[in-house]
Parts: sequence; C-alpha cells; structure tokens
Amino acid sequence: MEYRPVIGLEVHLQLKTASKIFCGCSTLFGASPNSQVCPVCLGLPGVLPVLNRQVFLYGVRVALGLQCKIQPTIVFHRKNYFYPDLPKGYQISQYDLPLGTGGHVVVPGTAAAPGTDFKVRIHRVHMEEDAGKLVHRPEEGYSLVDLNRAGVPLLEIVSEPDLESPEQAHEYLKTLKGILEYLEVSDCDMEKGSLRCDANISLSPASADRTAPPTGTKVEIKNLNSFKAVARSLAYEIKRQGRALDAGEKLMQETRLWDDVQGMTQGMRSKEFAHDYRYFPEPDLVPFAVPSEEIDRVGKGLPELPRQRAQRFVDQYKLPTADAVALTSSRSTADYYEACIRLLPKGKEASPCKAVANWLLGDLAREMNERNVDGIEGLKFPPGHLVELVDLIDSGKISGKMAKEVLTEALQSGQSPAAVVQAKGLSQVTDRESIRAAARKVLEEQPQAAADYKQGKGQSLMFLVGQLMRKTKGAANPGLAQEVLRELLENR
Amino acid sequence: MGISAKDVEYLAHLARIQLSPEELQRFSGQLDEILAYVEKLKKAKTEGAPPTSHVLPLTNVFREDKLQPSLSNEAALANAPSREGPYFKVPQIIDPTS
Ligand SMILES: [Zn+2]
Repeated sequence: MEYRPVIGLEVHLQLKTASKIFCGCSTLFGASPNSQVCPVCLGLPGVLPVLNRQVFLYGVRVALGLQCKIQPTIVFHRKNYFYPDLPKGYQISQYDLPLGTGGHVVVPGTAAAPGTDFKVRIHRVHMEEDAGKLVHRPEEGYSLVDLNRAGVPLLEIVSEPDLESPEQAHEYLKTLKGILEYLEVSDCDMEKGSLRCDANISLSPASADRTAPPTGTKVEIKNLNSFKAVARSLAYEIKRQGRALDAGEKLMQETRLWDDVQGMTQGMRSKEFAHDYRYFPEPDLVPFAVPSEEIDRVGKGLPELPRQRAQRFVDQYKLPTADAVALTSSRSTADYYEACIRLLPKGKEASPCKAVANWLLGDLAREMNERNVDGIEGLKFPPGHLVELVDLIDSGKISGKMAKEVLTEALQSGQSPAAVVQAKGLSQVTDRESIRAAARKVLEEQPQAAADYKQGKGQSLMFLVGQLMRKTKGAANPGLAQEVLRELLENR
Repeated sequence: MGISAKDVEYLAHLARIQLSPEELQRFSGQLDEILAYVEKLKKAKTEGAPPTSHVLPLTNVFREDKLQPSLSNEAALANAPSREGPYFKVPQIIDPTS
C-alpha cells in the first residue's frame, strides 16, 4: 500500500544565559563534575526556585521569531518521573499554559524540490530545566551523576506533524537552526548538546484526507545526534512501519532509539519509561503575565531573519533567489558575505557581488565541508582575502583556474591571495607577444587541427586554445589566447 | 466511586513506594473520599472566576541573570550515600539511551 509519513519534531534548545533557569549557578559547559550546583538545583529541601528574567526574554524572542502568540498567562508545571539525573524527582516544565503557541516556519524547499516553500506550523514553545548527566559503568554495575547541567535553561520547540518526508524534516531543522542562530539566544551546537531533537512519526494511507487528524500509530524516536541522523532514522522508520502494516501487523505506540552505527531504530522496553507524568502546577513559582508593551519591545528588537534577509539580498545585490537563500540560511555566512560586499570598491559592485556569492557557495563551501569546519570563520580566510581573490581575477592578473590554486594555497598557508600570487610568481600572461610565440609553436605541432579550422571546423579552435593553455601551464589569459590563435589562423 | 486497589497500586508504582495489600485497600477508600469531596467542589458556581494555579496574588517574580556562588564539590556531596571522586554514585539503572 502507499503511505504518507506524518512527521513532527521536538527541538530542545539550550539558552546561553550566564546562570541557570531557577538559581545563580553557572551554565558554563565542561566544568569539573558537580562544581556548579547549589541547594536549588540539587533539589535540597526548603529551597525556592526563582525564574531567570533572561530565560523569559530569550523565550519570548524565540516565540516571536517563530511567529507564535505569547500566552496571556504563563504557568510552570511539575513533570514527575524518577531518574537519577533528575534530583527533585520532577522536572519544572510547562504543560497547558506554555510561553507561546500557534507559530510557523517557512522552509525554502528541499534539494529534490528547490524553491518550493512549505510551511511548518509550530505547536508550542515552552521553557523548562535540563536534567543532569549520567556516566554509566555497566561492567561495575553503577552509574555516576554530574548535576552541573541540572537546571540549565531549555526551550522546547514543538512542531505540528506537518512534515511528510525525511528531506522535509532535515530542511525544516536547517531553517529552524538558521532562525535560532539569528536570534542569538543559543550556541545551537548539536555536538555540545545545546540543540537536540526528537522525532515522532506515523504513517497514514496516501489517500487519507490531509486535513483530518492522522490515524496511524505514533512512534517517537530519540537519541538523534545530528540532522543527518534525524533524516536517516525517519527513512528507516518509514520502511519499517510500511512493511509491518503491509504484513498486517499492529504497530505499537512506543519510543525507539536510533543506533547511528547500525543504522536502525530499536524499541525501548516500554514499561521502563511510563509516560504518565502526573503534571501539576508548580506551587513554588508564581504565574507570569507579561504586559504587552514589554512583548512589543522584544518584538521590535528582533533582528532581520533569514527569509527577510534573503529577499533583501535579491533586491540589493541582484542575486538569484537560490543563492540568496543559501547565503542567508546561516547567519555567519550571510554576515561574511556582507562584510565582503562592504570591502568592494565603490561603484563597481554589480559583477563582484555575484562572484563573491559563487566563491562562498562553491569553493569555500566545499573547503568547509572537506575540512569539516563549522561555519566560515573556521576557514581562517577573512572577507578581505576573498575580495582580494575576486579582484585578482577581475583585473585579469590571474585566471579563474589559477584562482582555485591560489585559494588552496592561501587556506593552507594563511597568506593573503595577493601574497600567494607574488610568492609563487603566479600571474597570468597578458603579454600578447609571448602568447603569440607560444601559439606559433602550437600551430606547428598541430597542423591537422590548424587545417581543420581552415576548412571551417570552428571547434578545432577550442582544441588549439586548450593546447596553448597547456603549453603555458594555464598562465595565458584564455580570452587573449583565443584572439591570438584566431588571428594567426586567419592570416595563414 | 472510581478508585480501585489496582489504581492505587499503579500510582504507588509511579511514586516508587511499596504498599501492603491492606494499605492498598485503605488508601483506595481514602482516595475515594478525597475525590468525592472534589466532586462536591466542582459543583460550586465559578462562572466569572478565572482558573488559578497559585494562591498568592503575585505575578512576574524574576531574578536577574547574575551568578551566585555555588556549593563546593565537597559540600554538594556531603550528604551523598555513595560517591566516587567528584560524582554522586548510584546503583545501575536501566539506561534509556543504551
Ligand atoms: Zn544551582
């Protein structure tokens, strides 16, 4: 049977406040175990949590950035369960009166369908505290607990089940991460765990009405450590669930763990994690109702977000939409791009604007990938260097092909492109006489091609240009090489 | 009314407390009485009274995002029944991520 996947994502975002959500302990990552704890975050008797104002403001910022409505009354609840990383026996979270509801994110298409925007609704955004960290010693039969992370502020961002494929889920996460980076409320670093994701997925018959509530059995997937893992685990579940349904099996509503090495999900024995959290209002925290002026103030302070910025790039720099979207999806790349543009000589920006974009999205993106660096800063190739490189090509000092070599060398040595050109004596031969000498030699060596050209085979000219470039080791200016060759052939 | 000994057993499991069969019986009766009282409260006229989650007439109590000294590692672990180095040490629990 044909099925349509129904996918929703839950993202946990660690906010970059100095202190924890309900106490004054530091949130710094990587401190020695149990050195950033106090009676409040240890859950000792008789203490009172007090909400960190910055957590609330960051939360409002994110909720507004995701087009949510801020709720008039915001209440914290206790989510009760037992686990050694949770010292109080409950997590302070939010239940039926979360910070924000009813938002959406517009995702600019997938690789398979670029440019076809789709909208993902945001069900809710709420604040909660993180749990501690466990270090397991399975051979010895015990576990070690570090509570430094207990009480670190999190935002949970829950999407509606509007996603229909692993690719859409991946692109949604990319877009969401882009927005969150622009909002400057978190490192958004998946490796450090400051951005985490759980997925839920069910299958509906492909023919089912999209507007009706989905009827399939929902499976939750946890332990997803990268966007790639999210997409892979969903693809795996779509196959697994489809096969089971085709065989007439009944699916279980359960939580499954993704195993990235084996590339499969595995069911958790469900009794070990009862999903009965007995939520009740947190009596230690008063309700929150924020005056609309304060919310407006946060709203006015929101930065330009990726979608608006992409539109501005199209208008201002005359870039194709696809380039503008790609450049603005990461704030650091977009900032880098605009830093380059500011360095361009005034009055002649039009063509370099596109050239800078091409380098950023082409060779530099590839270098970032190959070197596995996160963000353009990781390349140690400042905007001034890229502008210099584009200018070297633009002024005819080096060819596009040479520029690629110059880039590689500049990245390796940390030198500026101009310095590389100077040091390696690379520069394009634009001297007509020396090109003519080389061209004469080529024509002597390739009498057949020369004769073909005379008989009207235009394409043999390109062959001869290729030979000439080879002879000059790529140093000849290709336009000039073609011109000189044609001249010599015509005058034969 | 609705609370059976089986319900109490489930709740006891969630709360990780062990109850004897007699206690299960006794508590299911007591919980029943509490719920009956809640039923009575439900009949009170509450139109026009907004739902409340807190008895104090207070809202928007914040603290600023300022660091306060934490406990020393020794103080934090002082009451721990078991420790290893700077860590609390606990019996092995089933790990939901392995
Ligand atoms: Zn603390």
